[in-house]
Formats: sequence, C-alpha cells, structure tokens
Amino acid sequence: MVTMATTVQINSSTKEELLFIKAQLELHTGKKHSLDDAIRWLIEKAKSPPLEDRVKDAEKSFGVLKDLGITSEDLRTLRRQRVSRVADF
Amino acid sequence: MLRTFNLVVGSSLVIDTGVFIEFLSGTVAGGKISEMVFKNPFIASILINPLTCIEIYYLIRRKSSPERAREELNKVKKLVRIVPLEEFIEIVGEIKATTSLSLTDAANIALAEYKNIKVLFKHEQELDDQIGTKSDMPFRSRIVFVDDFTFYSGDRKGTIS
Repeated sequence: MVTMATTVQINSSTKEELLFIKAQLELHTGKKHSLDDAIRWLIEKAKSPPLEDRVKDAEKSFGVLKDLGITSEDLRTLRRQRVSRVADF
Repeated sequence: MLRTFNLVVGSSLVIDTGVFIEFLSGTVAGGKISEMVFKNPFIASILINPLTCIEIYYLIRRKSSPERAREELNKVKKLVRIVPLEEFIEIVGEIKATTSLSLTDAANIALAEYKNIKVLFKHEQELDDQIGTKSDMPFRSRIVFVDDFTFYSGDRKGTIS
C-alpha cells in the first residue's frame, strides 16, 4: 500500500474552525486530538445526515415499533429460521 | 460515562440490527442508545450495511403491512449512511469462511474493518459463543458491546477491547 502525504495551506479562519472542533473533540473524549482528527471528523460529518436533523429524526423514530412488540429474541429467531431453512435445503 | 463510550467507540461507528431494534422499540436500553449514539454530537457518522436494512424491514413486515415496513425503514435511513456491500465483499467472505456468524453479523464486522472503525452489537448468545471460543476470531478488536455501557458502570467501563 502506498501512503501519500499532502501538505495543505489553510487560512486563519479555517484554522480557527479546526482548532474549535479539535477542542470540542477533546471535550467529548477527555483526550488530546490533532488537527488531522478534526479534519477527519469534518469529512465524515459532511458525508452523513446533519446532526440537527439526526437528533430530530431520532426523536421521531424512538419507540416507533413499540406497538409491534418486536424484541431481540424475534431477530434471533428469524436468523435461526434462515439457517434451518438452508440446512433443510 | 459518555466520554468513555466516545473514547472506546470513536466518532464513526457501525451499528447492528439488534442495537437498532432496541432503539426503535423504545426500551430503556434503546433510550440510552438514543442518547449515546443518535443524539451524541461527537458521533459524526453512523454506518450500516444493506443487510441490516433488510433485517429491519422483514422484522417489521412479519408483524405488520408492507406500507408500515417501508415507512419505518425510511425513518431508519434518515439516521444513517448505508454503505454498499460491494465495497467490502471480500472481507465479509473472509469472516464467513472462518466463523459461523450470521451473514449480517459478518457484514457488520467487515464494514467496521473496511472503514477502520468499531461496530456496536448487543450481547447475544451466538455472538458471545463465537467470540468466547475463538480468541483468534478475525477482527475481534472491532467489536464493542453496547450493553457494557448501558447496563453496567464502574468496573466494566472501558474493559472492551
């Protein structure tokens, strides 16, 4: 595997933003983070639903299956059924 | 507690169907999963593989209509990023070849390996048996059990590796 290192020039406001994110990450984990960690976090965040939307959607989705009474045991049972069907075949 | 979780799990993670079902069913554990994962501002991305979507759909479908299953699955899709299986097929195959895990479990662990992140499971007999009996199980270090954070405190914090 070839690893390529890239040096990027960033302006002061971007650096300020990255430092803010780095500080936030440190607050959330209690350990030191690098500016690279902040960049990686931003990249991952950009590919996923925005946090504000995710929080709202999580509130809407929490407990939506309560009335159906689906349990972890149902999942285990269905997975076992699938295995047994393959075995029958 | 949340700091320990963040430190162990990292800012991107894969979640298994069992974890999702707890959340969607609105259990006490599901409420904690909601806070620790979905509402946690540290978590940048939550990944699932397509087989998890299929399992959630058919679990609902067995007890309800196709419309309801579609509706609830659409809600799930808003919370996560679905990674196509073809991106990490070989890793899934490798795990399936060396364990007797379900295809979905294998795909979840493979996705975590592919993305170099952790996968969040609930303790289940089958998975515990596999991990307990196979110390050399491939990619074991990728697995984190949500129960270790939601139901226990103190001594068990951060014991996952």
